[in-house]
Amino acid sequence: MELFAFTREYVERLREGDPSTELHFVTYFDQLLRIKLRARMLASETVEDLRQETYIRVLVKLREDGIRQPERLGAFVNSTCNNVLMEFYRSCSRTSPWDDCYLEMPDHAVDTEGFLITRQMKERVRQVIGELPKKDRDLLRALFLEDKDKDEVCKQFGVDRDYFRVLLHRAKDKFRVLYEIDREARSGEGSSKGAA
Amino acid sequence: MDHNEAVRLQAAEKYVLGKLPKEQHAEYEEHYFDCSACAEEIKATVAFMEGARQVVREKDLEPVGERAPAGFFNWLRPAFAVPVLAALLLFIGYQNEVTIPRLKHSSSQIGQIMSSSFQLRGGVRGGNESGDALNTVRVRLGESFALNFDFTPTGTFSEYVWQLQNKAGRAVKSGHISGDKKYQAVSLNMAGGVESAGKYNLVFFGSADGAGQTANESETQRLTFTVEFLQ
Repeated sequence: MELFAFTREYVERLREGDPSTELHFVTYFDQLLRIKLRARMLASETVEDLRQETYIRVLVKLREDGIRQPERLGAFVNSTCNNVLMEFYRSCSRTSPWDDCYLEMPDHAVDTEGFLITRQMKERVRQVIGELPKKDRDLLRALFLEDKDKDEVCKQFGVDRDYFRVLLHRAKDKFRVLYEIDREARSGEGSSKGAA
Repeated sequence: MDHNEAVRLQAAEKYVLGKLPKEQHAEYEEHYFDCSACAEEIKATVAFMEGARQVVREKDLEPVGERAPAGFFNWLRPAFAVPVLAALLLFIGYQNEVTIPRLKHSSSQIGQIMSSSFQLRGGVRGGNESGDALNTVRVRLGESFALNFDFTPTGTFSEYVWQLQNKAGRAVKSGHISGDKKYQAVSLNMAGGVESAGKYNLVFFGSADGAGQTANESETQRLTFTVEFLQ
């Protein structure tokens, strides 16, 4: 797997408004910001607004002042998003104290509903789930479909919540291996086309 | 929190399941924004969770009478396997002859599928001008993007057909949505983007015969937005 490291040159290109760098920046942080904001059970339009606001502030700040540690661009985006969130909560308390912007999920679970899943990703998930033992498949089905408390479902299956976490960890690792193979195949196709 | 600690804690799974203690929650958020390995880890975890949710839901929507207790491998039963394999062979042949060559021509679009996404508001039949005015999609010419919206059609159909219509009312893209997506958050990929800026309507029709045949009177939802091209 190819990991990405932010560099001074990258941040400079971002400051100068290089379109491909901007596209990479948004693509890289898009899901991270959604994940962070969704963990706070905000309405989807609020998530979009706060995400956009974070991008704007990061880019404006970069263009005005730059950042001292370009390699820590991710931490900078995160702290900017924290500031945007704080301001959002403050504005809620000023306008309507009982607004649903205060309804955080009690356990901070991430609401994954509506995340963009490509067809290929879904096929790989299907493959991984298909290879699970029946009990694990039934457990996933119960946890995702039945409108029951997760602890109750785990009790019904004679497992604890840690079992579900470990199951998720193993299944996700298999999915990730398959998905990386797909991604490398796609990038291989792209580079061979580029060379042609 | 450092990378080793995040791995040791299986922090990605705990975070997604809401099982990270409060003090570690913020630390892990700070970490995954700063560590590309953990960023990939959390993205994969969320993708798997949502993919699993969708796969499990699809399976659950099968008619009860046709479902065998075996669960996910139902389709391997002999009664289904023979026609399924025959259909699969036809499908593979079609892919080799038609789909793959076409995809090769549009490969430049494939890498952009998840580049930008936009939330559309409004969306009752006939449009909601005050809400629609807020819907702006800012992309580059030809850039792929995704449209996220709540699918709230009027009427109930087994399948819906969507059309992306330009300001002249001409359909520039189209596709299908299963009826079970009604009242759910839906994402549509606009691969290859659009060729001109301006006002667009994302219009949904009930498919009366399930074969994609629509009539204007079966319009069930309309979302209006404006495309602005970035320089």
